[in-house]
Amino acid sequence: MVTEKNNDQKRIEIALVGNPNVGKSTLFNQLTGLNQSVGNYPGKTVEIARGTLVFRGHRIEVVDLPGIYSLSAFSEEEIITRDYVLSGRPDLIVNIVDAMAPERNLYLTLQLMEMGVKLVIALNFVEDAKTKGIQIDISSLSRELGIPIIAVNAVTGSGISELVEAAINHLTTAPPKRPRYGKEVEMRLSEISGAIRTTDFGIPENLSPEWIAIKLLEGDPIILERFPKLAHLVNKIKAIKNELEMVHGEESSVVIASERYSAIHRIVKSSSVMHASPITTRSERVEALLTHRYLGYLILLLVLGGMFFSIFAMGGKISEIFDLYFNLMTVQIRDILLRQGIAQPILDLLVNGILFGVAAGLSIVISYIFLFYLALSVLEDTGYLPRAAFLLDSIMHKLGLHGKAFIPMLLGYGCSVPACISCKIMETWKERMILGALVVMIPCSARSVIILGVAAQYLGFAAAIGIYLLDIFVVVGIGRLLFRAMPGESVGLIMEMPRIRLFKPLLVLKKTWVKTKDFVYVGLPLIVAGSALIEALRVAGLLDLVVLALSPFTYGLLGLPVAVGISIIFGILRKEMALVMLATYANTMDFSSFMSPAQMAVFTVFMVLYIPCVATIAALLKEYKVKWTLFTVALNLAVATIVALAVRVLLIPVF
Amino acid sequence: MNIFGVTDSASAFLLGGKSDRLRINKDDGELSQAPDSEPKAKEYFDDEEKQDCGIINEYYRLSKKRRYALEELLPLAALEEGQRGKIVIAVGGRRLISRLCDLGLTPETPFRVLKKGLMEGPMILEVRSCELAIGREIASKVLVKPI
Repeated sequence: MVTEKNNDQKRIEIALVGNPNVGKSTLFNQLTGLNQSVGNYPGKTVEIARGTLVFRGHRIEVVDLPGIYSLSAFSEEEIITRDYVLSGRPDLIVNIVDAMAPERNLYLTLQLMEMGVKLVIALNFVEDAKTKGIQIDISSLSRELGIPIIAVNAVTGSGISELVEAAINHLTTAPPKRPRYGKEVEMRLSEISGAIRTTDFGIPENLSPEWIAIKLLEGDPIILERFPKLAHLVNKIKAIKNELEMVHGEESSVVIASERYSAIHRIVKSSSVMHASPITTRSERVEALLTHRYLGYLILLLVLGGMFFSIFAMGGKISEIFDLYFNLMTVQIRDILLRQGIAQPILDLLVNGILFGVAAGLSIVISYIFLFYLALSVLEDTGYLPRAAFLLDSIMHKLGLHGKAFIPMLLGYGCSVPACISCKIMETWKERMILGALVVMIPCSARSVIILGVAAQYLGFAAAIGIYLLDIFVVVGIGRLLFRAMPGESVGLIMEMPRIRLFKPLLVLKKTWVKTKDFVYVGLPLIVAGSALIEALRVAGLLDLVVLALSPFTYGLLGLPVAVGISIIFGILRKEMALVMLATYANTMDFSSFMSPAQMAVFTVFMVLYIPCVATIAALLKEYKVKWTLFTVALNLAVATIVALAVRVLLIPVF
Repeated sequence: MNIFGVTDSASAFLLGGKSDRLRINKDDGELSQAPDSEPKAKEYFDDEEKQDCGIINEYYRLSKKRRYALEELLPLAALEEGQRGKIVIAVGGRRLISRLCDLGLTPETPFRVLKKGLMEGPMILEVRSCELAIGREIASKVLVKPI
């Protein structure tokens, strides 16, 4: 990801920093057009997009950093942004500020000023702010802060060339000076920064000692890790901190946050007018409706129901058409290869193994994953997701999680892979890990095929619903258990409610594409490899042996026909293939001919809960440590076995 | 644990640690005078939450900076839709306190309750001209002065 800066003088690197939902990615798209790449930050799951733009002979590399509220280093996004800003790589920071919430946005600006970096502010949503009753005097604000401010409209693109011009013009000017804080704080800051200046603590020259002093006084969790030599100062800083806390009667980080906000309040007050009673806008009325205590839930039900219905309906159709054409193609390719005189075993491996794997993977991607991401991006861009999280917070608490957790859960019903990836919206690792273990137990669309194809077909609709409910029950139970068993805090729900907006189709498509591509890279190779492996086993005549080897488990423990071993093996690869393979293996489409109703119930329950498919395991590996992935897989297997066994025992008197 | 308005000694007391620090506080005289009347905040909570509320009150009693009498204060969760208030003190881990501050909920910040979710659901506050959703369990750890 990191490109070495070359000596070409005209090459400039600019980083975009701002709060979430301030139109940062829209601005990024306006700046860079299609010349961009999105990649994960090395070793982390945070995405950083880069793009280039050429402006009057300058080649400008634009880096889109994650949206953050602060640089307090309590989240991965904050640490990454901070490290990047301080790395000395960006020549200038463009700070995007939402004119509708100037105070909260400038809090980040102030922290950037503390770091002593060159800044230009892009003020977005100026028009919307006016309708809301907030009128900002840009030249006065710019003077107060000592930072050039350009009003932009990220959607229409107005003000953008002025922004780039301002950025280029300010490459050589000195960084802005941060506002003074209260006397008590300033006194202690200069005391600490003085101590830092006089001794060599191995701090790079581009870091301002004052910034380090602020971080130390705040009790920043990572500054001591980065500069271990500062440990010599710990006792001194503790004493200074205690002093400050005695004077202010407040924890030092709170004191500093309050100082920042009061400086901002002063500046904003002197350079803007806020009307006391703004007019209720249309979007405000919509917002009130979406979070209405009764109607809100009705709308939620309609939105989610509509989303699921259309995805399953469209996905099913698309996958049908895709499979049809693919089968035709396979037959032809097989013919061509056969004419080339390729031996049968190799042919099988190529066609049934690799080609089949590619098709299976693409079929899921095109029909379900793309559609799911599309729907998700729309919900994301309109600002509906936080509303849904608000409505569902109390339900998610039953799992020891909070409202935001509903998003991965929802995705889980479509496909476990995006569900696992989206777990990173949770703030703490504890919540992320619990959620990751839970979402893989939610029946994805492939597992729904099994529920519908076996339980609903032969045992009736009520049985299918029963299995879905049983699954929810199991997920809730395991969630509560994990929550109790694992150490660490969960922060609970604190989130901004962004304004409801119309989404931009082009942006949504782009987002969808980027996310889909991500899945293709992670999941597809594994599906192909797995498919080839199973085909190789079959060609070598080992598949029967494996199925037989599973018989103590399938037949002995769960009391199922030995043949279902084939479903279990294929289920690891691609769950919707499990039934087809079983039908082929047993040589009949009528499952009731070799399974009793009780056996079918046990089989379905087991298939719904056991090991996630190989693509999901890959996604887990990508998002979590190997240990947690292994634990999750083992947990799934254990839960599936126990629940299936319980169903078997409970059903004995029924059938 | 970290809190607005309370120094290490108070936290240590409530976490059952360093009892010598506590004595210093008690000797303060002023601090040992708990208000006789049952604090308003307590009435709001049912049994399970009473303890939690007791902790906030205790923190506030021990806090060095007490601009308001405890009777004037309420947990944020007790405020109704449309009510306004000022943040006074919050109890929680470093991460929580830092999040609250970052989003603009520093002490003395005025706010308005816009929405209260059903069934112990979260609240939506208007703070510094933006809207924040805050879970009820966090809202019950924040003591506010209704205005």
